[in-house]
Amino acid sequence: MGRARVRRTGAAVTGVGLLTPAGPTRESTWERVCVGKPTSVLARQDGLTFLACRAPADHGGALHAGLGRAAARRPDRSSVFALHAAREAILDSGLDPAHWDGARVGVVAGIGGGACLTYDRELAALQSGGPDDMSPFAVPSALPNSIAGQLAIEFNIRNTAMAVATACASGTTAIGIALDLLTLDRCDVVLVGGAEACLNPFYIAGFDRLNALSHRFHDPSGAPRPFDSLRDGFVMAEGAGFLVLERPQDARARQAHVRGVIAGYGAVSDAHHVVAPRPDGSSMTAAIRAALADAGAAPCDVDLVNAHATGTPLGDTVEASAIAATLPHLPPVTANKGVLGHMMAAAGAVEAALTVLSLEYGTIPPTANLAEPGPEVAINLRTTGSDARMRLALSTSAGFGGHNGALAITTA
Amino acid sequence: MSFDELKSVLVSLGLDPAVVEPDTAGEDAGVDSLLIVELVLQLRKEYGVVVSADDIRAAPTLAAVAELICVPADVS
Repeated sequence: MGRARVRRTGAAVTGVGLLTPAGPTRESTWERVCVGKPTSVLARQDGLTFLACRAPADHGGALHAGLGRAAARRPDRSSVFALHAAREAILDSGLDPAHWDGARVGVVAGIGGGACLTYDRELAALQSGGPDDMSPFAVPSALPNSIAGQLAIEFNIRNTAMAVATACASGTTAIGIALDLLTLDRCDVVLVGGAEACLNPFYIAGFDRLNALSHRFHDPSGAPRPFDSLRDGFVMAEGAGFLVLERPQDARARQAHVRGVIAGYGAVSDAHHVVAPRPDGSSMTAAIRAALADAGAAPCDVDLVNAHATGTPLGDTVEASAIAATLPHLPPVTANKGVLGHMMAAAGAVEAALTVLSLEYGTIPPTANLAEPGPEVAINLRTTGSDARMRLALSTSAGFGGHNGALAITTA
Repeated sequence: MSFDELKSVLVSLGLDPAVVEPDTAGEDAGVDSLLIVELVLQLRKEYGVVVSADDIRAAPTLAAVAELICVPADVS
């Protein structure tokens, strides 16, 4: 099969917005990730005991109050997170949705569990009180694409508006697609990210049935433990991360502050198993190589890897072997989930954003809860934060269903 | 239901308090067909009042909507 080559220029990151268990803003999240202070707590709900990293700022309904007119559209909790993070990202970019050409602006939202809290609530209303007890907003708020629709309405986005779903790789996939939309000149600006709010009994108990969750109940903040010898699973988290992307020449022309550049993307499907990764790590290896090739870079150019590393025994082993096989010069590897937990659909976008900030500030955050790497983990892990001059970093994601994604990110 | 009570319900549903005025037509304040169904549901759940969506739709102003809503506590 022949392939037409498209000239790649990358996508400038001109805005970053975060709402995570570590903080309700970009800066508060970055600060806590840099000090490596975990957010996991013990929770009991619906007869279930579990660990969770919850989004902040729910106190006093502050999040909902900040929605303004968007509240009338009854957004699901995941959309509420997305609206907040996206607003911060757009503010950071210096662009003004009231005056931009919406026909040239797109939005790609990574989704995971979908709007399951709305679904649960409305299904309960239906079952207890009949159809008349269901809100008319039940379906528009519970549709998996509702995040994209809510953001489009709020920010006057009239080009492509869609959701992408690759489970825990969704945020990374979304950024890859946004890069393509800009490269192909479909859009001039893309708002891209991911949001997750699926701490409901179905997902908590369901992930637990897969033995995927940490049971470190005696020491909640000691979980999850990326790459650590005592890792025993991931911790579910909620929140959102969004970025504003533009073609670098457009960003330069309007003298925008460019925080970093999404230079390349690689996606590889395992075609192997519904949840288990290919044990030889060949898919992640291929995704990393594809991202580097897309960026016109070589493995030896990699100065930092922000690993997916959820803290599951098998997942981290496979990822470590893929990193070691692809990057024999052993660049520093960090993982954000020790602080943030696993924000699932949002994870890839949040971690890409943190990777951008790492390059911009010349800082490698520590891997929280990493005390003693597992014996099979032969990579250059950082347990304490450090400063470094870096040019290119990788951010990797993997999702149930066999999705592997890697982003190559460079300094401005 | 007094207009002010209706206003607080509409604001809790997300309408802008600045445009929720007695003489405003529902449509102009942002009361669309979805919001009417949501309002009917809220009034039944929170206040025990049954109001028809068609009657709300036909009311010319928000003051007229408030007049449609007879809260049981007011009647007794």
